[in-house]
Amino acid sequence: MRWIIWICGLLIVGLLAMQFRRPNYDLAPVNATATFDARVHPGSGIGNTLHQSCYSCHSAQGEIPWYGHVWPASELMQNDVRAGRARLDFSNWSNLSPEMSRIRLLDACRAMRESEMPLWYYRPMHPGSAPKPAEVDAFCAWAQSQPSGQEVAFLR
Amino acid sequence: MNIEKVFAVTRRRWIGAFTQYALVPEARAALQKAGGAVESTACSSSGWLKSAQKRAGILTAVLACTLTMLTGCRGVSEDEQASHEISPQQLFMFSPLTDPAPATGVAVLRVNLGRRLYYDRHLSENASISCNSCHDLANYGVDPGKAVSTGHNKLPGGRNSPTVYNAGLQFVQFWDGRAATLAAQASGPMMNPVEMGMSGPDAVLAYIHSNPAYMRQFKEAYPALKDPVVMDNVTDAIAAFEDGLLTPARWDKYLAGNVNALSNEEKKGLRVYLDAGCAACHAGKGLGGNSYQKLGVYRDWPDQQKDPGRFTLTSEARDRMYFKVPLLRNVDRTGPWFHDGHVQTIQEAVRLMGEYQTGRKLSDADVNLIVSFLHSLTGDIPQQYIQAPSDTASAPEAGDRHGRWHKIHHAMQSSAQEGE
Repeated sequence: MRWIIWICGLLIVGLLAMQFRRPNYDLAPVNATATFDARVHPGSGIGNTLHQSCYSCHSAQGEIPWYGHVWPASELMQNDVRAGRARLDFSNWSNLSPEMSRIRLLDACRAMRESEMPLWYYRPMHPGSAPKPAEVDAFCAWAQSQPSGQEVAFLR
Repeated sequence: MNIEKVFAVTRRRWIGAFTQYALVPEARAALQKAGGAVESTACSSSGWLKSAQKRAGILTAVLACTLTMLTGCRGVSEDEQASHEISPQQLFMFSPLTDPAPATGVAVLRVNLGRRLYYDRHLSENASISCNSCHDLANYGVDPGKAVSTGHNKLPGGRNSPTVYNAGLQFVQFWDGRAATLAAQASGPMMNPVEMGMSGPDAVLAYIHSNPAYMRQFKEAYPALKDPVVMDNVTDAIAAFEDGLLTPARWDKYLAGNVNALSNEEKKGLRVYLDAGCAACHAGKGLGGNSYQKLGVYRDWPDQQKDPGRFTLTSEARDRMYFKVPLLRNVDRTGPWFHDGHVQTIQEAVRLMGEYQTGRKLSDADVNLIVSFLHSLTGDIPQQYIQAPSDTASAPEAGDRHGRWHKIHHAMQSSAQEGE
């Protein structure tokens, strides 16, 4: 019995010690002229869908919840935000050409259509984050209408 | 929410993560050997199971199959099972490059003029280097084997000379995107004291004024202008020539529907390329050249103080270590790689990209498959288009040229002053 207490004690001490490992979400100040909203002007409907479903991980404008500062959740969230912003960052849209802008939007459409995004474990913690089918359709139609690039038949 | 799709995605991630980080490399090799791509593993494929059991023991195999069963075998689609075939849905972020349409009218004259300027060593301070010296068209538009090129005074440049082939596909020019167009780019090296070192536009124009053949060409190429010999037209002509430096490859035939244009090895490489996330940045017509990205997403890129990328240009914190994503067309011929040219092999370049940009330690097998795919992006050099005009192939003695220039330049200044 004593060894169980020792193991639990060590685990708790380890867990507390890991709290000193602070996450870095790289939330540098946002240049208002470089954001997706400023560059693309998506309109309130599309904009709201994206803010609600994507911005937590795919921008520097998301709010980090309290558990995002508690290890090990912080580690998972930090990795998700880093990976998410590397692939799609609504705060730095000026880094994209029109061609890449459209590619990123179409890829977002694909990810939502295939229920790949938002991540399955993100949804229960953020009720309402999963876009409704009609919202996905509206977003995809809008993304498809963006200038430059080839026509993408399968997304219609 | 489509639960089957969620399961399929989850299964892919778990098995991908498993095979990526498995402690037993032999099992991973067995999986890849059996399936080409790890996603194609299914409960029914007993061949790889036997192989994995042989090489890594039953525990590894049972774990792999358990993961597959947990997340549903039904999620494996036809195209995923055919390991070397890529579904069109996965290729929507690419578009094929076609041969450039032949120029007509004055456009031909501008291209010819630009070609001549491109090869002309007189456009450097001591008539020693031309655009072609650092962007050798016979060597896929780079300075082969050199991390950085040396300028007119033998000083090294700041960054690796990027290829000029397909540069017109890029949304901006230079590694840090400081030129918006090819024409804006063209004047940069001419005036750069480390590169061609011309003292200014006047020096360039004075040389052109000294050359009757150039004067005739400028008048023909820009007939509407009373004085066509201006710097904007010099750079416009060079850009017109560079716009035609396109190299369609087998990849483009594949995108256009010819499934046999790529070998099975290359298709497997394409699948690894897509699964590894390379296409997040290297997509579009040029497979790059259409965004800025941070170099060092998952790990800090070494030697950041030496070259912090666009930060040098903008001084904005958000631009630190951001560079224009280079094109991947002809990438197997454009080494050494990266902005500082410190990587000598393309395998190493791919491995570093996996580690720093996608957070994956790519196996040697995956690296080689990706490199196989990259070979399919290499097109033919348009030999006829790049043929240098005979009178720009060699430069005269610098002293002769300088003497003539300075006389002409002085005469131009005098006449301008008289006019005032």
